Amino acid sequence: MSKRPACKVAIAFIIGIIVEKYASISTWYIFSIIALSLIIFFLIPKHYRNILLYLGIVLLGMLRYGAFISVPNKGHIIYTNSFGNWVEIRGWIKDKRNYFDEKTKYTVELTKIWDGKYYKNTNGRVLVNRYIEDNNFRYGQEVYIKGRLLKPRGSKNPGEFNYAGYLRNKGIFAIINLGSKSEIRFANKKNGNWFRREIVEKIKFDFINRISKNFSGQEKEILKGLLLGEREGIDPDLKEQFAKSGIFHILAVSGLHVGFVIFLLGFFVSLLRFPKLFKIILVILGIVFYASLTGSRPPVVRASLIYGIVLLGFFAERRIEPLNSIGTAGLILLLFRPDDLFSASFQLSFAAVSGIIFITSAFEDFIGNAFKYLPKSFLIRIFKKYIIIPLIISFGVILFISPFSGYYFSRLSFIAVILNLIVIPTTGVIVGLGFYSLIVGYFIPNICEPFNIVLHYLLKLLIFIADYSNKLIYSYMDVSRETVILIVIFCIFFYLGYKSIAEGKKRRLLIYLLLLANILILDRILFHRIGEMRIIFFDVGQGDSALITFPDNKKMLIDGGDKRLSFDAGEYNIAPYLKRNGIKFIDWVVITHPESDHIGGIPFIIKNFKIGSVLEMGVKEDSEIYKELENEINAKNIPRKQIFSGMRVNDSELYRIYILHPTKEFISEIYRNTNNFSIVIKIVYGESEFLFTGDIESFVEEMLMRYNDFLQSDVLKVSHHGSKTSTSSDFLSKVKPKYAVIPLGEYNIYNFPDSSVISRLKTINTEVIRTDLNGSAVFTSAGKKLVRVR
Amino acid sequence: MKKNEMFSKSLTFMKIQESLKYLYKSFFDFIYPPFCYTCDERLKESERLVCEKCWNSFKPYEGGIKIEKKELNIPGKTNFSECYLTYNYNEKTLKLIHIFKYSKKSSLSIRMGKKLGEVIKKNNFEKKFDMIIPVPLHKSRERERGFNQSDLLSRFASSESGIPLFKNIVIRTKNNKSQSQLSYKERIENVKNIFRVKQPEMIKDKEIILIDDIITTGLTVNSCCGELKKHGAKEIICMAVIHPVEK
Repeated sequence: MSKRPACKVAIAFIIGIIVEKYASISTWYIFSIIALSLIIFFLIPKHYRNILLYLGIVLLGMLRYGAFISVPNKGHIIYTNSFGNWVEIRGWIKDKRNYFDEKTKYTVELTKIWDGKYYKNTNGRVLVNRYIEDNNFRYGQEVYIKGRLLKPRGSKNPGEFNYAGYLRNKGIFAIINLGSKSEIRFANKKNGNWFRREIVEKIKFDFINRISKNFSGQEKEILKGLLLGEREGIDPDLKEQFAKSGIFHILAVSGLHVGFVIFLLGFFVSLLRFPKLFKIILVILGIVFYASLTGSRPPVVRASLIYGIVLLGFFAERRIEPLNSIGTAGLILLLFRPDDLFSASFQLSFAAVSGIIFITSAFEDFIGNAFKYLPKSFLIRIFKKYIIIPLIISFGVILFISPFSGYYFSRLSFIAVILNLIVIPTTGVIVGLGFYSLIVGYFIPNICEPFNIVLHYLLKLLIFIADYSNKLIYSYMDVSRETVILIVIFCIFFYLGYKSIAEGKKRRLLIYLLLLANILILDRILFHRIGEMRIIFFDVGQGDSALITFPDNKKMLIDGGDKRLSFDAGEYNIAPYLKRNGIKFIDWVVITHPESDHIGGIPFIIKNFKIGSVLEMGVKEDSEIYKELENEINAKNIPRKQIFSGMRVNDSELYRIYILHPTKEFISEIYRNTNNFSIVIKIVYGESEFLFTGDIESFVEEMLMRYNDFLQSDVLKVSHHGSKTSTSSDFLSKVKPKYAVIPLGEYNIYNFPDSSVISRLKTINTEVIRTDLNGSAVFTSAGKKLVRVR
Repeated sequence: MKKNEMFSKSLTFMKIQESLKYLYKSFFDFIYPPFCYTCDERLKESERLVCEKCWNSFKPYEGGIKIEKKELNIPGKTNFSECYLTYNYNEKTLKLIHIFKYSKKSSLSIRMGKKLGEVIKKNNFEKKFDMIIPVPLHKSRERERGFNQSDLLSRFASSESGIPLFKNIVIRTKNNKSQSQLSYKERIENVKNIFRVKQPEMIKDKEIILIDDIITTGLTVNSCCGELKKHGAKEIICMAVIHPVEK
């Protein structure tokens, strides 16, 4: 038996899950393989059986994942054909969260759905968004809801956050946004788990009310997050500052908080004169209660499980092998929810714990030896205990989570290594004092006043640290995915190389070096295809935006999507793509015309990236968003250029950027709206041609007919989101596009795209790509054949 | 007939019990793989925490090791007459004590306590000495750790040798810092006036074995012996598991 059996089994299980996710092999195949291996198992000699055993675990992992993602039972909500339609549903509230911008999100467990005649039984969960702050106690309450049933969207742009997957992991398959026409009614009936409704959630409700009474502003929200995991109310800007400083982990209730709670419980229990078993049971009950108080969030459950395993081993007086313990925890968690393996939260949790284990075992002897030769004085003791050891542990955690945070959030935080030394003890004190104040305050309200004042200043300190530390130079760095992968590869090879030198195996070192060289060459081939042009039409909802990377690595952003109340296409759709791909400089930003759904996201891009120049045709608009845009351009002193038809944008002979519209004369005329002023761009690279038409209407299209055959293009960005006023048959007969990309939002109020436009495109055998259905569209070309990547 | 039936029933019951036990054990072995703390070899069925091989490697000294007072580092007069150890000091035995004390594996005390008892018997102390007293811990420290390591050792030493154990005669009144973290000068100050005898009539003219887990400089036991002597103890010897020699 190996030293870490649980780790081996967990790894086999994980391999099974991964194989099933990407190969999706049918259950029957897996069963037959299992049957076959059972036969082989009894035929082969004993010492080969071990391998087959692990194969069996791999197969089990595949089965488990297959069963987990397989569609639920028959009455489930995903089988209704009412998606996109108005529905009436009944259910009960499983979860309620208040968000920063006075928004409330309910998770509703469905019981019935109206099918036109009567209520039919159904099940599954729906996420209900309500744009009112709901501060009442709601867990378990039965509700009637009338609204439009929507399907959550997956990742809209390459590598973007997969919202649908995130919700599916919580068992949610549908969304209802409550607007003016929809309705929510709270029935008098109650449902759900009695213990949770009448005890856990009521205590939580009381806690939240008392926190709200005693604190205000962001301190209140952070305290709610730290103690109860209700962090949705924290200002997104403040969250971003915590994330940049690399100390976001203290806001999310995690292993750290569970650790503090266990520490407090342990202290409390040590005051009692109970037998050991009793004390441990008390602590475990305490953890379970705390976990349910935080709504059993996955990080809390993970941490509680790991602590539980350690406590159990401790009680049974077993030797606890740390890696094996987290292997066991991982195995148990994945048995229940195999899909968690692919969540960033799961990976970060386990990376952090592994980091602590790795670094403590690696530096244990080092620290012991280093301090042996120092005199045993008080100061050095304090220095070792409170500075050196925490610093090393913090370093280990950051070292291990960096690849993940770099990969998922395109960011590496360095300053967090030091910040943790201040922030973690502060958080510990806040958690301790906070719970003390809440629990004691329940019986004697006035006694907590001094504690609340201390808490107030500690929370202020946290906000101050988050606010100032990310402004320091090199506190964090934006990295592309490629960089992250390369750094990880280099680290692995450095370790392997170091090992082979230490063991004196020179030939192996040579093999490693050759392998590394091969990977680097492969990287050049995969990421930097020479002479390739890449065009992405972003899915920005109802709006328009495209980014072109030219063969000489110059970039052009044409429009920037919309900005609405709580949504900024620049922030949520465009910037993540740019960061992930390591794009820091955009040579040209083209504003086809100053309408909100074309310029909304540009201010954010200008603020956060370097811009060569802004190209526009000169017609201004009197709107808030346009003012914001002008302010940002002026603030960063970006050169603005007016462009007209006949101008050249670039000097390169490799590819051409033509401006077809508007002419200088056209600008001086006055029209009703700015749509017809839209800049029309044609890009030619070898045999691949692209036409961007902004929001022009058919009458401008007629004007463009003078270009005749020059209009012909492989890809047409359909004008005005597929409105019937554009994309006339005559125009199409000249352009003859192979692909037509229509950028538009799902269920938009204009009823775009118009069916006539679609049929016109279909008649000339054009492939229609709608961003509302397909997400973003990506094309590449090496000057010859055009390739659609996505 | 009846007897036979009953017998067969209890046999199946035993079988079920055994297989359940096996299941329980293999479940625990999966989560906490049984490997020896000191040599990292896999443990056998009957072994727990430390393997037989290691236990055997600990005891090259049959009658214990008697250490001279000059090997200890006590300034001035020593309050005890002799000092015995069970195990020779090396990396493994130090680790053993650390696991016992800091990883809180109280079950290790059985073996070590019995060994102390054996040493007592080998030297025929059980006829001469009246009582075993463990070096007390401060109340809060004991609560923190969950047990008093010298207490546990004394318990098994007492049951092995037959000398009665008296626990609450001496108490520690000051929760002093751990000696291991201090320099020599600090250590001398640290152990001054930390013990108090609660029942002086019990130790009057008695011959006492004082048991501790580790004796490093001997300052702690000396301080404790001084307190006992002050209240009339006739003779005291100290016993411990190991004596770490600091270089």
